[in-house]
Amino acid sequence: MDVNTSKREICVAVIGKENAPLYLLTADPAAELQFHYTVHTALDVVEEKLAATGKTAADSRELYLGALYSTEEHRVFGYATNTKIKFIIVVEAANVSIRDNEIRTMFRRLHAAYTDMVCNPFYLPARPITARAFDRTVRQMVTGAS
Amino acid sequence: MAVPQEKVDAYLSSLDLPEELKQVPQVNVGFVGLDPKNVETHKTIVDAFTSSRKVDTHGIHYSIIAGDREFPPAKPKRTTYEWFLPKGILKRKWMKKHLYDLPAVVIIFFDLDWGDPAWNEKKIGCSSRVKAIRAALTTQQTRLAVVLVQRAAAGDDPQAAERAADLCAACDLPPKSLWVLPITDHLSQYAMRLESAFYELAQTYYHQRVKAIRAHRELLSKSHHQALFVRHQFKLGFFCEVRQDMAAAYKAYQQGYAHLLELPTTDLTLCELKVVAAMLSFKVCRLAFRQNLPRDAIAHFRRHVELFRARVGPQELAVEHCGWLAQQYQWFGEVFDQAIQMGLPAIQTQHPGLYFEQAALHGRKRHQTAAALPLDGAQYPSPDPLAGSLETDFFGQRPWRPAGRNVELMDTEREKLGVLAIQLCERSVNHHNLVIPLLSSAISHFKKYHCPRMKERLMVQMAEEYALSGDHDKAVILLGKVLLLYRSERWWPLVVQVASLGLRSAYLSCQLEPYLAMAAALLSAAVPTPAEQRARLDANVHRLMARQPPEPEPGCAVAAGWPAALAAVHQPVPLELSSRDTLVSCSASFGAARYQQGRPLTVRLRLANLSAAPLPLQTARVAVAGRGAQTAAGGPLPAGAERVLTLDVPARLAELGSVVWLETVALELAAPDCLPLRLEWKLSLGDEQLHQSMFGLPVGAPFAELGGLCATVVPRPARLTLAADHRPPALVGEVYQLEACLTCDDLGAEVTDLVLEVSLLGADEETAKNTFVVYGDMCQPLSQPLQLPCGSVQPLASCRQLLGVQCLTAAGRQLQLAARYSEQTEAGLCQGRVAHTVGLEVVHPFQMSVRAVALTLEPVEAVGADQTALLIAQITNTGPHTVRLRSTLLQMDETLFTVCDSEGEEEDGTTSEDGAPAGGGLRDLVLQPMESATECVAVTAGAAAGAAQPGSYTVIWNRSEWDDRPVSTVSPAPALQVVPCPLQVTADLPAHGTVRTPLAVRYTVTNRSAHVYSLMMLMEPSDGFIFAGNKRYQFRVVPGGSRQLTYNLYPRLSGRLTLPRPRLTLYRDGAPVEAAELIDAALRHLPTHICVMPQEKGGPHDVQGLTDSIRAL
Repeated sequence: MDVNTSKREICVAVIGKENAPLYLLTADPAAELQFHYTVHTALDVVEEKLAATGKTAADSRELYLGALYSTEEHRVFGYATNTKIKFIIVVEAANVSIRDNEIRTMFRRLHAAYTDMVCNPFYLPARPITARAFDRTVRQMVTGAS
Repeated sequence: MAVPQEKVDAYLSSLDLPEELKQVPQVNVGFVGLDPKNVETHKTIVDAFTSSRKVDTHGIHYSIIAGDREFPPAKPKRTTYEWFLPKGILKRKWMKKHLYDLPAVVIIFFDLDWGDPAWNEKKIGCSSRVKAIRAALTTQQTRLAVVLVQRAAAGDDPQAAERAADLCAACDLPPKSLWVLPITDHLSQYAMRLESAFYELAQTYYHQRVKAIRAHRELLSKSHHQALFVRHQFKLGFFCEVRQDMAAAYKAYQQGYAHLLELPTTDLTLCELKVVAAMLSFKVCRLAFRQNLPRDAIAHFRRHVELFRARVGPQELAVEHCGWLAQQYQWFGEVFDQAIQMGLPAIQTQHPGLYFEQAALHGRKRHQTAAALPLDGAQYPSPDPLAGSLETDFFGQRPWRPAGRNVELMDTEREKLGVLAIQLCERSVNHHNLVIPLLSSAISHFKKYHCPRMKERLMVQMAEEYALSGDHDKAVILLGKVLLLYRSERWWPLVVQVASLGLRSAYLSCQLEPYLAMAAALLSAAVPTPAEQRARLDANVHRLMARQPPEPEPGCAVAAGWPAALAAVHQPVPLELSSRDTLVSCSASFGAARYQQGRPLTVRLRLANLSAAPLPLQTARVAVAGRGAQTAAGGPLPAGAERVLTLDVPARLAELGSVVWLETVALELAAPDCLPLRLEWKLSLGDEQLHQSMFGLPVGAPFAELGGLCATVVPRPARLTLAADHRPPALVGEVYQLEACLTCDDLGAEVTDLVLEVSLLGADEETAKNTFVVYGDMCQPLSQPLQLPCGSVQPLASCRQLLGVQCLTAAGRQLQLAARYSEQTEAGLCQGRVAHTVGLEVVHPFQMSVRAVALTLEPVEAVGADQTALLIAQITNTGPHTVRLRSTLLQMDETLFTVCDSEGEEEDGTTSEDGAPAGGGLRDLVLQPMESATECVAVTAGAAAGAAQPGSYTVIWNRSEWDDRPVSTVSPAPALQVVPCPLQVTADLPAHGTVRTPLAVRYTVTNRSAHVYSLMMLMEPSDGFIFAGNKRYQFRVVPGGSRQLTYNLYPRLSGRLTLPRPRLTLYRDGAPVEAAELIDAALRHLPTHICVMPQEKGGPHDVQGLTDSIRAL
């Protein structure tokens, strides 16, 4: 329709164990605040899902949480590591072409990048992520996927 | 220009879904001939029908119709629709007509008893009334029925059947349409029964209507009558709904919606289309929920919104589209909510709150669009183009266009005025009042479905709406709550946004406390507030402290209320700070990680001024575990300066052993002409602690020596030293003497309320039962600890306490001695405790053995009756202590044995005088370690034979150093058996002989049986002796009698010589008989040897010895 659709609006966020944001990147920096809200509210569903699965089998849990919720504009997907670090990806609702598998792959890449980042002995857990390598990987995901 | 409120209200109500659509359609039944206002019985009848509603499953709407009422006429039936062009989709009056005006059934009530005397006249009256109603309803297919109101239930009236038929004929009614309603106590039950009958009748009516509509459809053509297809489906659905045929109704409405989508649309017809689409979707969704198909309802609604979201229509009416979308979400949320109240379960990701939220979102968009309309100086057109917007013939048609001519544009000028009127109305609508209730219901749903964060977000939106509508107080309250939640999750970007919003609202409403709180939230070091904003806020806070109004927030008008608000403050304004580094960097810690009980807790405060101007610090206060301490803070703190304060918090004795936390820190800022301010920190775990807790480390552990936010109150060092004075090991059975020695130091006052506690550590139950503590006259097992009050001890004095411990088993024990005491300290009476563990080795005092031997010193297990055995007891002192044996006692089975004590009596007469039981020969014997004592006691078996009970050998002793308590130790004595002995042979001979000196030996054969024994005795010769006497001698022994055989032996050699051996043979009837057992038993204990001494030099002794022997014989 217009120029906006050529660039897929997307947001990637990493949330800490205590639900504090560690990292958030949006394709459109002007909308960052809005995405903060979106990601923050998505944690409701994440917590509910984690609480539901936590009871049955904690070890064999699927890390990918699937679509958390969708609004008129966005679809939100979640992923939670075993250490309760949460990854959130927000995709435009209009973008129906994106497949569940693609989202899964993105999460896996994100998890790998996060693991590499945490291995840095100078990184203090539960602090905002400032690592350049991690940022580069996520930026590639956001722009390269479009 | 402002539009009058009533016009705005009318405009808003014209946008709502019509009321008759929202209510669930009911069967319409009309009552004729009832006058509830004037006639009492009629009133009870009406009440009976209307009040039974609650339990009723049929939805019936009753209306009281006057007899002369006119009903809407039916339209003439068309045979062809060829030239008919529909002017709109749904007629506005149609639903109302069928719900209220046109009954499906008319019930004519008539007071008539079967036995009425004026039957014929009344019958004519009734039939004329029926005829009148029928005439009024000629064109409609409404059903008629008659109910006779009778005074009594007259079921057995013989005239009933005949007269009923008569009446039916007169009224031209089928017999099934005549009922009787007796006015009795059971009226409501009659009413219920009649109600189902009415319902049945109504069903047939509506069924007929449905059939008529279906028949219509054949006549319509797709090209011209698309709108009619929609209308017919709607009507079909409506009647099916009345008939409670939900599935059919759902299908009909769905088809209607499908037909609607096929209608060609222009900008002019779009409005009508959207209104009708909303109405149909409402019905579809509600019925889907009703039939428990929530997924279908949601899917239909999604599709509905998707289809129409992009169909905005003319750009100048975009605001109307936003309103329409908001309305869609709203009614869907309401329908969903109704379904949930009927029992539908909802989940976190699918509940009405989501739809209310979307409705609110579109409401906000609507407001933004309305605000952006270019309406400067526009006048509300006159005449009002929106007048009569609720009276258009068709739903959704514009009131300013000619009725029914919605399709083509007739008058551009009027169209423009109409659009302008809508825009002006929209501008005048207070959208916030529409959005806030939506947000509030969304919030309550989000709360219900576990979405706290979603709720927070909506609270922010609600606060924004309040702020926009000018209600800043409410906005500030909401934002304050949300701020706490966002801050607790450290979501700083949102904290900045919320605090900035709150700051604006607080500024505009001139609220000092919230203003300071919001400013402090933004000034916190953790929050990424831009530097210039930080500087501005800091300056504003300082302006406030100087009682000057703050600078307005960017984009805000100057709020005029500040000087008044500031002048009203006299008490210190509390300002709770969540971060340690806001305005003042405040780090508080205990001076030490451990405090002794009763010593004051020191708290160190390190303060640094982070703001750009000096802060007039007055007092500092800390609270620890519910109490506080205060100190002067030492005057103004210049910008950037640091200061350390130390506070002593009074001790509390009850906190012994617990961890006390630093709870709050408060700083009071005050100076003349300055706004008094109280900064408060509620201390929570800082970042370091959070980090540690994440990895499971104990909070504060690595920094424990430096003091953290918590400290442990530990006991004071013990004032007493406790030692035990004793001589181990303990002997089993003895009362072991142990002296506890408590010595007090000189570091304080007298120690009082001293209690010594003796207990066993880690002993099993058996050991505990066998351990006693002896104190004075008291002796109790140590399964319970013993408490001994010991009074008080002066400094440097000591207290000794002698205890006895008696252990009955040889296991080692851990004896714990503990002393509890009170001590007067500066903080009050302190309890103290000191403990000392004594390892106690317990050993047996002796090794004792008792064995039985015959007189020949051969070990025996059995003794013949009337014979004597010896018991030899040996006692060895195996312990390390010298032990004094006081006495011994042998006890045998008294029925079988007699213990001979004659020897003891002969040797020591004193024992008998002491009254000690006889049977033991040892008296007052001291045994050094490893020494032994042996005694020999003779026991004589009685005449009776049998197995004896085991005897016992008791030693009564004590340690020679402790002379007070004798202890008895018991050892088992062998259980000797007494065997019968019918024939007994005893030898009587001297203890020794001398060579070549005759030796007299006398054998006595005694018969203890009841028989006469005939015996032969044969002496076997021996090398050592020459003997004189009967070598072979046959004799008889009578029962009880005995025979003596005397021999003179002449020893030829010296040394231990074998005696000549007597042999016995039993004779019976003159012949020898085998009786080895009897003989062996008789001879067993005869001596076999004797010791013969060599002859002394000098003969005379020989003669003397011989004469002695002879005399003895």
